[in-house]
Amino acid sequence: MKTERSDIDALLSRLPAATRPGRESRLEGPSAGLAAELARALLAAGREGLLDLVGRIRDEGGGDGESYRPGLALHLVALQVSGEKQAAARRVFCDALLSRLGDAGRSAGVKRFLIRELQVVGDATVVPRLGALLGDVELGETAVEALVAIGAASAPVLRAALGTVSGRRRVDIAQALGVLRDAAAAPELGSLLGSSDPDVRLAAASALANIAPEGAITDGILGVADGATGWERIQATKACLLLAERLAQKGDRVASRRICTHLRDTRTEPEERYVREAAERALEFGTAEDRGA
Amino acid sequence: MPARKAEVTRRRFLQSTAAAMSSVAIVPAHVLGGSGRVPPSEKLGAALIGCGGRGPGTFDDLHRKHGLDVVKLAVCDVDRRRLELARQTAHKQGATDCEAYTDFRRVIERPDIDVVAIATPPHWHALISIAAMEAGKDVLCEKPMTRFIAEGRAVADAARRYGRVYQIGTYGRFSRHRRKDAIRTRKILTSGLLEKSDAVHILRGGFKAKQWSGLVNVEPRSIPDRLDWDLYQGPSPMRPFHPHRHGGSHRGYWDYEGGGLGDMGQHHLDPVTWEYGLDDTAPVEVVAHAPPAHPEVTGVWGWVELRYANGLTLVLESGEWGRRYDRLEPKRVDSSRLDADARAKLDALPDPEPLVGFGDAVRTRRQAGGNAEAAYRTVTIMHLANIAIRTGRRIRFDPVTERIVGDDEANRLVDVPMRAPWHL
Repeated sequence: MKTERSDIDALLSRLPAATRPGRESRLEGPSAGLAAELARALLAAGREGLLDLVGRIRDEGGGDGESYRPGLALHLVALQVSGEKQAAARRVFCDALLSRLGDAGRSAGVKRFLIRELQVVGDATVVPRLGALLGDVELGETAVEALVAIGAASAPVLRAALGTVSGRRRVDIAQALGVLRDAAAAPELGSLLGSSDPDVRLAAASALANIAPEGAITDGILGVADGATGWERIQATKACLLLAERLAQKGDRVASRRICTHLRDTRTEPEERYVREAAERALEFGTAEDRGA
Repeated sequence: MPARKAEVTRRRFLQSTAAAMSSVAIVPAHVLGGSGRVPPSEKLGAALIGCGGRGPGTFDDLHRKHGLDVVKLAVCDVDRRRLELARQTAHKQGATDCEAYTDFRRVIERPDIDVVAIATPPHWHALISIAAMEAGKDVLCEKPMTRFIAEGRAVADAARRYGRVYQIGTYGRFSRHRRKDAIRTRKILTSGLLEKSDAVHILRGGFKAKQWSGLVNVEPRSIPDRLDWDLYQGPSPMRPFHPHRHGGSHRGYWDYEGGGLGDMGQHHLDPVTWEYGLDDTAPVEVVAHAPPAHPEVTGVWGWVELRYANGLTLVLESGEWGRRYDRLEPKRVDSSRLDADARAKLDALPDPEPLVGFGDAVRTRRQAGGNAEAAYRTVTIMHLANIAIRTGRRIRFDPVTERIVGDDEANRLVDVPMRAPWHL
């Protein structure tokens, strides 16, 4: 269906005026009924209509004082295509947004807005295109957040990117793989435990603790904690306790007990008494579980 | 191991540590002394993280309200102007050793600090609470407890894992738990004598929905020299600076809080969750009457209806938008539906144990009345209400798995990705 620009204009004009037109404003609407009607109409306009809408989105404050309208309208469509039984409409919506992420003439701010809308409603089909942005200085961080929200389907592209990025982006991706509990990433995360960058070491230790993979990563994480001071020691010790819990959940009580015993026996200074006590409680619980098993 | 079973096992472990905490005295780290530290008295080292708004009051409350004998050792804020004011105030109060920090991590790693008061914007509440407890410190944290649901579970887990005291900075339940009618309601609902309830509790007004609506059409500004904007944003998506995103009006943006519900919800709901015995569960179904929400700024809403598995219904009504709530009438929990035998059992039940204030909890190592698990369950109500508002959909929630049922996209608001290096 061909959509005239005037059609989109008419739809957007139905959104309520901001409380202070042309200035920073609060919003008081639209009603749910109007929102659904607008979203359906925009969806009915198909890909071309959505692309027209996307083309109207401007950076914050950079428009004519009513620039919130296209962005809000796009979000209403995202909500409309969320949920079950919306796969076809969702595909059209996501494809329209993805097609504009590579536009040279579009600002990074607008592209980040589009990625965040994909975070709202994107599924596995958008993962490869978002994965291609992971190395982008301006968009990579937002892409990581969207991929984490989409979930397990994102793990392969994140895993593939881990070895190709550096600095903060490497921390982003290591952390993301931990949140997604991607066991296949464990070997590469394990190699990052020896990184000279403390943020990378910590991100890897935390991610591995969350994943709790099979194999010998325990000594590596304990080593990070034992060798650290201050903030890094506190955080790496937390990773050790979390790893012990996760291993126990997986049934590897021997490895879990070894971690807790190590913490109990090495955290001997008064200021780490609370760590020793936490390890002792975990050991007591493990013993009780063994008795009950 | 299946995820559900693993989750239950983890919870059992954490519950066992909670039980241990209630019976084992854990002396605050500083009182024990340690290398390079001499315990001159039983004074507790205290820090304030987040010096604007309620910050100074919350810091003073450690002594004034909670009776703790504290020495103020550190204040911390990403805004150096506020930070300097807080430092000067502490010095005027006699805390001449009180040092100023812009990075909370430097405060957390100080072993001479035993208690941390947190009054940052809420997108930092969970992460700083968790970090403080991971460093062996007790926590008094301003409301709302968290920015999203999964953060609350992580705070409660940290409190149990490390045996720390946590108290949310709202105290409605402390007065409610002395009221005879509230005690009776709680006893009826927690005793199991009444299997199902048709009670309806309606909270009307006081949610500041318009007041804490955010702004659209904002023009980005230059970041003031005094402000560490990257650290302010922290786990939230990086945005251009605008003063409305900072300094109280942050409440109008999903990145930091949840609008008027975020500001006032935990206040209003804290006594309700105690009275109705809801400290270990959550609503199972949520419906909102609200305009579709903007993706970035909070807005107005009309009412939200939240139903529990036992039949109890809570209604939050702003009175600031849309039609008035008229689906159900308020209805008290009523013991008249109990038979004579059950009423006799009810009358024989002891009253609930008095709630433990934060100061007593720190001194005796018992759970505080507004502990992390209770605060988590309360703040979850507010977050579920906001998720229903933001999605415009009926939300079904599983209080055991703590996930929304059958709506993957809505679950993205239960556990929101964080900007690295910040994570739960």
